[in-house]
Amino acid sequence: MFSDEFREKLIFLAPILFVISILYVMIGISIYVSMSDWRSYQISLNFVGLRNYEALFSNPRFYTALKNNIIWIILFMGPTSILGLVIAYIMVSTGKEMIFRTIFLLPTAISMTVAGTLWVWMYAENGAINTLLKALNLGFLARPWISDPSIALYALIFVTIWQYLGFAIIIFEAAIKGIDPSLIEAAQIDGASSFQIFWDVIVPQVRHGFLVAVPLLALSALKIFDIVYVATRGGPGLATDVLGYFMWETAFWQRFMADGAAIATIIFAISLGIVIPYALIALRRWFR
Amino acid sequence: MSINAKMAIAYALLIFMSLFWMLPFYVALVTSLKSHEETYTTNVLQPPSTIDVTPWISAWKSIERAFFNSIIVSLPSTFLCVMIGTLAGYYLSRHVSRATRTLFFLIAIATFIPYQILLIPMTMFLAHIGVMGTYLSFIIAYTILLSPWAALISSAFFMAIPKELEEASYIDGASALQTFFRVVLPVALPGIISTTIIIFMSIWNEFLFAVTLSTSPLIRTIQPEVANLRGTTTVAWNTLMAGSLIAILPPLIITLALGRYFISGLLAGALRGTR
Amino acid sequence: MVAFRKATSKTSALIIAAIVLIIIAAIAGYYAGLSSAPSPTPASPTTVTTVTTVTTVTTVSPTPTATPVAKQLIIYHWWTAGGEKEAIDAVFKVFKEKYPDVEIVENPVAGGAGAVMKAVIWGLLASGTPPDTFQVHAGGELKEYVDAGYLAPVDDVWKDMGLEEVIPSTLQAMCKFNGHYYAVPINVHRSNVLWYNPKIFEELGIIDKFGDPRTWDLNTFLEVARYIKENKPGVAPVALATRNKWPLTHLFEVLLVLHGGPETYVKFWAGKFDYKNPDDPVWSAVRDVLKTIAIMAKEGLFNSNHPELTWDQAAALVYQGKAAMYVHGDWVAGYFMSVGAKYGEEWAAAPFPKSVFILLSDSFNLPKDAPHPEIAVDWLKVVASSEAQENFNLIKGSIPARTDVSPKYPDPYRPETAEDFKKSTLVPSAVHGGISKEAFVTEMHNILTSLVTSATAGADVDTAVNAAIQQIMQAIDRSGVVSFWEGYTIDYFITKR
Repeated sequence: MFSDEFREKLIFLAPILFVISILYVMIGISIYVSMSDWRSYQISLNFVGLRNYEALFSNPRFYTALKNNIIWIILFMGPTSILGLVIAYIMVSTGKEMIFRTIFLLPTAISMTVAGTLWVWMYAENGAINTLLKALNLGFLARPWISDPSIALYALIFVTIWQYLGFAIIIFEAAIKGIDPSLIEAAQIDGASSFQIFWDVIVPQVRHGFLVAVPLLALSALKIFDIVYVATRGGPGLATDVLGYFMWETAFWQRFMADGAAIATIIFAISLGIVIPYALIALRRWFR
Repeated sequence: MSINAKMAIAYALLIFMSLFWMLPFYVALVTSLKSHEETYTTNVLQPPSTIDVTPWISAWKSIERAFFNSIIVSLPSTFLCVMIGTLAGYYLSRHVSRATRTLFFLIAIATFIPYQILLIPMTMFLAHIGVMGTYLSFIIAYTILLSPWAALISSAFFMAIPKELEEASYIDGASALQTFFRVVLPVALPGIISTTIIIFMSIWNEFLFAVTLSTSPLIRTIQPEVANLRGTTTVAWNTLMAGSLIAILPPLIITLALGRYFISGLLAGALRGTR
Repeated sequence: MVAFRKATSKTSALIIAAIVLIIIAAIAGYYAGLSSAPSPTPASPTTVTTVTTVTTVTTVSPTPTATPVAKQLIIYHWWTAGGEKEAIDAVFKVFKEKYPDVEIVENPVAGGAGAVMKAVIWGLLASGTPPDTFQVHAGGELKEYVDAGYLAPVDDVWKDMGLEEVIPSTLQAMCKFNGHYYAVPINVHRSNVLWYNPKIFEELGIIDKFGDPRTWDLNTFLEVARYIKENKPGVAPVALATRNKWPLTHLFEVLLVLHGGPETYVKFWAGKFDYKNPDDPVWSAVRDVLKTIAIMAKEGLFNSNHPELTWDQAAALVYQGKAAMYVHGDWVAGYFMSVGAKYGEEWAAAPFPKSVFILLSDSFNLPKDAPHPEIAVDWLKVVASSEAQENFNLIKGSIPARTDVSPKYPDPYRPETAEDFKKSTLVPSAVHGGISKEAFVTEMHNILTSLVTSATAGADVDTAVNAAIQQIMQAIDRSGVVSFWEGYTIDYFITKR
């Protein structure tokens, strides 16, 4: 009945088609819920239009959370990718990549929940960071890292940098290794210093490394929830509140599923702005 | 500056950074082996004067069930994701057309959907079919969430395999499925391993759905359990550190033993290809 | 493009069959392996009212719907800490003596009345597989379940056990909605208590200079704090814990009843005032309280590490002499006793103020689709019995919900509480599921902690307080407090004495 080709297509593709249809339908359901009046234990799906979005946009908390996410994206993806590139370069030039690569990869392998837990202990009043600072006679820099509302956010951002540096390193390591060695040789013959080689040869050639690392890191920063939940619950006050945590608290603490869905839809919409260009570029490289 | 001086500086920098990067693990380990009094009285960087394993024992007692729950949940989910993903990834790597390119694009988008927007409908769905509070809820949820990523990663690996092998198989009269299982998979095994490792670790480390679906202490998985150890009242840091280290044992072991596969999996998933 | 040849041979078919079988086996295996949910009855139409197209064929129930298996009581509660666990075990003991052939299937969920427990219960209720009974705070928290149609009335239990005679009207009101009772309370905790370090108080002569804390007003409280800071700078005048945010809202609710009185308190939390009008008298009381909190934050009268502490760690500061005062509920007494702190030397307690009693109560209920409803009712009757209430509360550190039960308390603090329960004016707590809607309380957590952080950072007090008031107005709007309590009057909640 069905041709062989069709049967094959079915076996190979039907499962994934089924899965992604479910996913896209779920997105649709979420968007519908965000325009419903479900705000209690009881499911209630009457359509109310954009009312929840109006309420969301007039809620100052939305803007603090969004601002925190933006700060997170910028301060996370920038330093992580740059540092990743620099360290990858240094690492490759020593030739002993394997051991260093593994060391930096270990934090990437662990969950954000545990990373958060480990660093809460590191950031404690008599924790490792403050103890180290005092031992180096830099005691005046010691502070209550995650209890101080002006620096708590940055303390958490650093934890994510700590985690994802390994990821950035391996991306740039692969990029560097993909550079035509004759380019480097030519530069060396011309008497360029290491720094010049780095700046004028390596950096331009690994641009696509940035194209890969930056969107993925930005995406992670948008979805942050685990670390905030484990370390500060959005506090002190709302200093570390992010959209992911705001959504969870709205939906599961206040039982305002509709409003939570609205926040989730916003998160999704912003992520599309990152993912769609990323996927298009990646596709072009592949299916050229 | 001479080459040797430059090398020395490079090494020094790397070693210094590595030490700092490993510091949290060191501190966690050292804290987890201290007795209760020592935890709060001694310098946090200093090793315990006598090694006390009670924190590990009581941590294990608290999270034992969650640890096994995670295993029970992660293994079948990983298997299903890899199954579904590799079938799709293989097909997409071999058939390039407008249609498959669109499908690939949709899969790529699906991979990076923030979980927040799937949380509410997924829980509605799972509650509706009556599996809330069972292992099945996790397995269904994770299979749906992570199959696209498995497809993405594995397709990168399949693309690197020359088609000649399959052509030989077809000439011998095998079907696509047979070819896939008998010829392609063995050759693509490293890629399959990478895919499996990435998916397994993603499920093991996942938190948002884990905390929402863990409706009872009986089925709670490891990440919410560790978050729970921190709890709403005073926490015993030595036990908490021990518990955290137990929770990251599988990913750590995998990274140390199978790091190569982990790395190529990450690169493939980042659409970097498997140079 | 490579052409795929040959019809699917037996091998492919076998492979596909194997895959399908493995999946089915896995599913079957896991269905068999589980089980925290009791053997379910299909979701009755009233509980999961929805629009969704995929409805009534909700028959993917894990086990065949049979009559409820053995005689079981499936119960969810959050009493897992030391002291609490023994207390609920004492009630189980009473129950087992009466009904020895009933198996008690206990589901303790750690983390207090937190989101975890509620999400757990919600999941069970929404999927039509509720337990036989679960712990809930009487008041607004209970009402949310009632409104969603998940609970069955328990008027019969109240009648049979004669509870209306022995339970004061405020607590009755917290269990009664739409004219029916929906829960049976087992205990009462007092929220408005001032815990203090007697040595510090004596050293500084606080009581001589400012009077007994039972008589203080809002200004006195602030003055005492300032006095302590001036004369004993190493000690934090007021302990505070904001890691989980709610203890600050707890302080707020106590100060509000202290300064504004019970009517203002109830009006605020139930949204029964002209909240959009900044000149409404309720706002002036709220403003004063917010100002006091902001001033205390700005002048450093709280312990500076409060964002890291949980409620018990803040309490610990008092008996350790690192803080002088702590405004918190009387479960602190249970904590002090469990760590062996000495009453009279390391800690003392005073109702704050004495004339008003902010109460919260743990209660048990009856879900509509409980798998063993008669057993659940038996349980509720045991909970309502004098014996159970006496045994439970002696161990737990609270007092019985029934006023006719008078255990011999070993501690000096509770006899006064029990007496005040009969003699002071009663109002329900807001932070602990009583008078307010949880959505609003959650917003207050964030608003108050933000106020404290900006005041600590040096913001101008009036500006910060005005901003907070704006935020509270929006929060009242957004969280639907007013419609939540529509039809209930202020007097419904206050037992005036």
